[in-house]
Amino acid sequence: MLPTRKKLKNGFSIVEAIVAIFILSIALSATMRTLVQNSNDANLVNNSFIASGLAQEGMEVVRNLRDNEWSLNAAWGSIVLDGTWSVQWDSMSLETNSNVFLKKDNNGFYNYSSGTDTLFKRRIVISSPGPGIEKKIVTTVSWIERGNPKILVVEEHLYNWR
Amino acid sequence: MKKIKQIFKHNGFTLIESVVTIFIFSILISVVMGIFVSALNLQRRSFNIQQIEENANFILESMAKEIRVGTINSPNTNCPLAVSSSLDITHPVNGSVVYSLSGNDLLRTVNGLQTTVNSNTIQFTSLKFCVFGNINPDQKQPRVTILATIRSTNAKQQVSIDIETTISQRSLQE
Repeated sequence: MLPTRKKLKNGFSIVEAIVAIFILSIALSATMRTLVQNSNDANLVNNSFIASGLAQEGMEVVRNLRDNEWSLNAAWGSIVLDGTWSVQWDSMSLETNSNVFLKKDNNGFYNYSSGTDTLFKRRIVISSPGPGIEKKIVTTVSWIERGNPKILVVEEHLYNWR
Repeated sequence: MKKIKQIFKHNGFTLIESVVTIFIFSILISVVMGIFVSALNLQRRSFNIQQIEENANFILESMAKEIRVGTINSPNTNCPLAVSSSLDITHPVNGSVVYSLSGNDLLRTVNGLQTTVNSNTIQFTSLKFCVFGNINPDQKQPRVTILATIRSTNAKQQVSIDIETTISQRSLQE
């Protein structure tokens, strides 16, 4: 009986073909998903890197202002005031935070006055855990990537100690 | 026996059948090839971003460390109108360090000795420094703003990113 059956089985049935295509498409879609994920991750890395530069800038400008207090013989906390603020690369004081996007001007400077909106928002929150001696600085850079909110938070403590 | 005969009768394809098969097959293949090509492009782009990120991370971090602990020698710039294309600092251990651009490469000149900092997988299309508060005494602590545009050398799926960061000198200056 066996040889007859073998002859009958010559070729694929439609069910076999469908199953094969189904399995193949699952395998392919998994591969595609991995590739798309890879690409999204690369974008996230790209934006995170720009954001880390901006966060560092926020921190360094606040520290710079703290150092200016010393240069000016001003009282501790007279320039670095508690609250929620904005700063940009040339800030000489803390500025009101109106929760707007950082702009990039023709020369490539990230600022708040001229140029086109970028993806990023930066917020600086200053508080005094130890009044008169310590300031806690929290810089938050946030952006929206493919509809998902992303956030980078950096914290630093500055002391009245040179 | 009847079944076997029937099967033997269908032995081979008609012209129409082969044409239809080839047509369907070619459509399938072209779709698959399209997917493959776009996957390849995505992969290239990701790789370019990775190259930029690895280089820029290392370069900016090492530059920031040197600027923080050193003293800035470059004079004030009138930014954003006029920027400086190089930065001159004195590092407490390494001595005189100058960062400048040579073509599309970042040069670090330590006591006259030049080295290229970036790998050849990336290029600097622009590098600007802004020095602020570096007149003694101006009652301002010196700070440097670094603006860099970095792109991948690979022109296929080329990626270019703009980075900005600011570093404040740690050593106090009136």
